[in-house]
Amino acid sequence: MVMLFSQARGLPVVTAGEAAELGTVDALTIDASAQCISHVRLSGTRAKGHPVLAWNLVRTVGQDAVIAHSTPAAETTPTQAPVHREALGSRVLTDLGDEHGAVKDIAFDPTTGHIRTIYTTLGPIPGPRLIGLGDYALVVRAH
Amino acid sequence: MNTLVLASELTKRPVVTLEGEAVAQIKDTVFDGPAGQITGFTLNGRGLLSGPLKQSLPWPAVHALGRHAVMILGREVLAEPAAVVASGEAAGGGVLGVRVLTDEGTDAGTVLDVVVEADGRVAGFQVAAIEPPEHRRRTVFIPRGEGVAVSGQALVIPAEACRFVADDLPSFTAQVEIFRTRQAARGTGAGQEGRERTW
Amino acid sequence: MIWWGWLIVAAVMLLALAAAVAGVQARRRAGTVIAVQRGRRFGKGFRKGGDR
Repeated sequence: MVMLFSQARGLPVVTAGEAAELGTVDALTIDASAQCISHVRLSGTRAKGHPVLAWNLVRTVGQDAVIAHSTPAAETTPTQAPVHREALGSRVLTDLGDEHGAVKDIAFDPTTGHIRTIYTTLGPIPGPRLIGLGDYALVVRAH
Repeated sequence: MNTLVLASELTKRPVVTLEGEAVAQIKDTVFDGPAGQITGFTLNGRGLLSGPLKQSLPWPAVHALGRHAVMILGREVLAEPAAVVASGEAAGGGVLGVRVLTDEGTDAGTVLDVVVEADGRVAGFQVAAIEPPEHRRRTVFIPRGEGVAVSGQALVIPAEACRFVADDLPSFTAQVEIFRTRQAARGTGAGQEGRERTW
Repeated sequence: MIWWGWLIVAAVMLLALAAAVAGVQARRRAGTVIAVQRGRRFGKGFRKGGDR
């Protein structure tokens, strides 16, 4: 079972213990070296700015909601989280320096957060090929 | 044989780390004339308000020379400018526009560009050639090889290299192969019957 | 203050910005291809006299 970044965006984030809604998913932050999601960036209903939720506090991403472990440990401040690089729409470069379109969507494992497939405008790329995501491009191994 | 690219097309190509960060863009392509190999690049910053960088990119630090970007492992591989080119060399070493002479002393035109391979080797030169009969000008590609010498003053080519000229980059790719096979077959002894006589 | 004072201020700031960009672009000369003389064509060492 996989989920798409585009499906996750806008889902409410609810704690399992208290059924408290922490906000909605604004974006998913990727740890490119580990090829998995590291944080969920929230559109805050309470705090201003973008509170973030570390992936280890997420139990699962369902069809209709993201279930998180209990508050108050659930919320972290943005300063503790790494810089968010938006993957969707990013330019794709191979490690050989050739462009490979732009990111259309990303499929991930909703429980482990591992990146399964990167869908680009020039076709899909297996998640394990991901090696970097920076201000200029998302970098994948060519072979 | 890997794809050929004109060195001037490398200018402005972004220098990108494997983490996806663009750290610079290419300014000058610097190559070693005798060895026929790119030694590195000088760099400009990215963006309207950034000038030349006080850092350079030595060839061994290049991860890949791609069609759209020059890939490096990380920002830390960038070196001081002198690692690639001394300031004096940069001032007098520009080869675009220099005269092309055959080893028989005839003017063969001017250098338009340098053709490089993705592995950093210099494959040859794009030349605005002067055709002897009525001094007609046409653009040709001349392979680098034995007896070819280049500096900021001139490009000297063996008269026989003129036979291997190509009109465009694709046919040049094939001709470079033929030229190299020939050079290899002639062996080292015969190959040195060139201009570089030092005795 | 005269009503068009802000126009002069804006014009001066614009000029300063244009000068800054022009300055940077001038230092940032167009790239070229540079030949240096480092390696020797025939293997290691320097060739002097008739050492081949």
